[in-house]
Amino acid sequence: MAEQEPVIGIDLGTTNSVVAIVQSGQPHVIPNRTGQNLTPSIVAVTSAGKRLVGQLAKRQAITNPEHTVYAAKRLIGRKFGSDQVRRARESLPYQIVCGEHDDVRVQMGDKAVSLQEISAAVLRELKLDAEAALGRTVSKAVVTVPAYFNDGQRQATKDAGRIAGLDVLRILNEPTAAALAYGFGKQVTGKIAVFDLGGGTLDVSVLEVAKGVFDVVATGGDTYLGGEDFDNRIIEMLVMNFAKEHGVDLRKERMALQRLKDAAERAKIELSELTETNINLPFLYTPPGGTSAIHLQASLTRARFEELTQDLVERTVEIVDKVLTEADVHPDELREIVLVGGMTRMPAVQRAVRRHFQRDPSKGVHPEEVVALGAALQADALMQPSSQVLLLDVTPQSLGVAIAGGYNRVLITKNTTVPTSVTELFHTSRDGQTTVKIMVLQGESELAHQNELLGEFILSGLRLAPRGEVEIEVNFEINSEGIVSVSARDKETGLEQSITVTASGGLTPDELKNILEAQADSLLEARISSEVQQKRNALTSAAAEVSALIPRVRQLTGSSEFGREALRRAEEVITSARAAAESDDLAGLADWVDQLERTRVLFVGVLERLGARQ
Amino acid sequence: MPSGTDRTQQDPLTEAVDLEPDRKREILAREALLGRDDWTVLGLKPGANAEAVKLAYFEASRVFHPDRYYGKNLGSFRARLERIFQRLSEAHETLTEALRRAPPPPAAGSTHAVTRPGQTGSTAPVDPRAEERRARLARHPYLARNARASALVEEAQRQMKSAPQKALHLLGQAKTLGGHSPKDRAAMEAEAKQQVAKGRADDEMKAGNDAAEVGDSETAARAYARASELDPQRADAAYEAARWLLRASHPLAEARKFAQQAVTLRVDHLQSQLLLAEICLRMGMGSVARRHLEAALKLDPKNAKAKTLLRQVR
Repeated sequence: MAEQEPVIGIDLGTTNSVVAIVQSGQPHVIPNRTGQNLTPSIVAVTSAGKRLVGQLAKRQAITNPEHTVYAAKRLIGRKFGSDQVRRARESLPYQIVCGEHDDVRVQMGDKAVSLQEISAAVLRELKLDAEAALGRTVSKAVVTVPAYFNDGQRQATKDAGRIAGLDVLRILNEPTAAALAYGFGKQVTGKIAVFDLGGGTLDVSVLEVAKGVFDVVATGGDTYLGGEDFDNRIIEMLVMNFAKEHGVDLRKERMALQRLKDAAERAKIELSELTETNINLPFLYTPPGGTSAIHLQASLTRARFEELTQDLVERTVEIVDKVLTEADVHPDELREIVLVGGMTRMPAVQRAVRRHFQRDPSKGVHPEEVVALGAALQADALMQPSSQVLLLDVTPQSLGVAIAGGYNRVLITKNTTVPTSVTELFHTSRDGQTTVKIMVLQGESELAHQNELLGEFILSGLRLAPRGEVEIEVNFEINSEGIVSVSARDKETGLEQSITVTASGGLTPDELKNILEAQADSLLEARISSEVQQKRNALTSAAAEVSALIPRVRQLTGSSEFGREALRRAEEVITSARAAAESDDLAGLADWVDQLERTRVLFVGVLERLGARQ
Repeated sequence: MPSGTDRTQQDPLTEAVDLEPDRKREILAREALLGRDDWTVLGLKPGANAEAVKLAYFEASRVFHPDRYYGKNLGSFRARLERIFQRLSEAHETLTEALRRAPPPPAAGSTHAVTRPGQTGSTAPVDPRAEERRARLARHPYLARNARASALVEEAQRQMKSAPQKALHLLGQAKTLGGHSPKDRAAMEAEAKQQVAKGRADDEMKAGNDAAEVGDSETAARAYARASELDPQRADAAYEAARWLLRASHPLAEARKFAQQAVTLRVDHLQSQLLLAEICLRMGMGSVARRHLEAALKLDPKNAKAKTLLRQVR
């Protein structure tokens, strides 16, 4: 057999990226052309219009902050109007502008560059590094993303690969990759947890490993908790002290901010080894009017740094806890805890993990390289039929459809092993409804608009019938490539419509809410169980009973303060209860029935007493 | 499942795909089993243990997971593989969950329950001369300390049940003397500490009950939580702690910890299951809530609250 084309694994990180490959059955990191294993995920355009990537871009960041883009991963696949982007805009020295489809772009010179292009520049650099090292063309790769990336962010990462001339075989979750690399070649059997605290994100995964099979049990995390948040705490402190001392807000000075950022990151890294460090930034700020420049000199102890970031460390442990609980895994069941990501070098993070799990985390993995090694292993597993490695991955977020009332009906719950498919029956939600709109949502919220809209389509030509009579079968499918497809079928006519979810909507919650409201008439309705129907009937009759009592109660007690108050409350309850009757929330319905019943008992009691007296 | 069936009018064995005939036959044979029970789907005999279920699932995944045929032309076999794999993972999950809830009784020969070493005070008949010899030796200056330490340990043993605090004190004295059986002493010390903690847990429980009676949920919650921490084996303490922490609007994660503990200690306690489910539900952990609600409904199939909550999950 001819030698197969090499397939690389790429860890496209927030701050640094790494490329790796499996050769003769062993994964190893490919150093870049300057001999480093880590390539900074930084892209810059010089004043001469030259594009720089990696170390070269990083080196000139201080003198060219406005045209040096870092942390692109925090923005990729997001909408310009989203909270996350708004927050990022405050702390980034480069300028972010809104693209045509409310996507995020970076102003570089006179061009507004998409984040996909920025990431593509990094990926292309890594591809060239790999080609230089292997002496062959490379056109296929497995690229990792944080487990918590939604479909839009994954698609955008795939697009970045395509722009860079790489066919992305698979998007792989970072902690899964880490576990693959960790478990590879070891005879580990049992459950292991991977705690991956990188530059921008925290990912936690639990895997069950035996004989080369890696079964992901659960995965979760926080896309906005990482090393940069720790840096920002130092920056905030420095900025505040500087403002107090000199009355200058450094956050408005792009160049100063970039230098502060570098210094904060360096200080943070040093404090993993040392107990105290100095931050010296000479000529940090030159006041207008030619007065002499101000220097920044500060010292930071490890204890103070830990104090500044205590809540961040605590949050990491909380997230671990949440993931374990969701997976119904007790900490005692874990065989190993693997720490991944540069931030796990911080002693306070290690302490928190140790305290929480009551044991030492596993050593012996290189936290910054392990993810790329895992990506290379998965690439090899896909291409080599003889590979011993098999990964059973899960869908990291729930998938559902928007139903009447603005709710999200989940069809595939998070942490379901893929490939998978689910079919569920729905109704029309309105009399004479001839079309339904299927809105595909990704996320965990019960409220539709708080999830991500992945795509939408219309099934039309339904029979004219009263609400609830037309049955629609909705099928969700995630295939082994991780591609989501959704179809809807009118059971009666066999009419079918489907979409393959490819591009992301990525709308803000408000936008989605507006869309949902506009579509309110054509949504699906979950099948109403007989229980809900019974409760609804009970509610209607209870409301009618109370209403019937009101005139007599008013006649007898309407003149008293108590009576007026009680009547007002009763009327409120009836109005709200009747409004709630529309929902199919059983608990809510039961609640209103209870309240109506209490009011009825109260009124009957009042009437009996007063009636008897008269 | 859409498609698949209409395309396979022809014999799938003759379909031109990148699969060996043997592999095709293997796939078709497993596909024919998909309607059967979970054990059969995984190729197991009913009653296998969790470990066997996992291994069977992993072995089958090696054959039937679509990734094993990445980049190949699979024709109708892609859908077949995806169908088989989905059924395999469902069977694995169902059986694993069921075995977790009710592990099969261990076979007679394979118990690895550790028999705890007998806790001193053995009642074996004592040779009188050996007793005398020991007493004489004990008077030897080098050994006197040992004898004194042993006496203290024995006294501690007697006090253990009635006055664990005193026992702990005696054991501490023995420790400073450097007794001859540090192992026993350490075990007893641990036991004494546990007894003391249990006593204090009782007190905290009483304090909790008192506070609960007057509706002081904050104090009650704290007392119950301390009781549960002092005596982690006390199911009622864990349950009450969770219940009152919830009522006193403490962070849900805290209440959940105790509720989880309560459920772990008493799997068959309906209220604990319900409480844990309710907390999980509020924390947005629907799948966990569902599991516990299903457990609750197993205990009491008619329970209205469990049904209501379960509906919320869905």
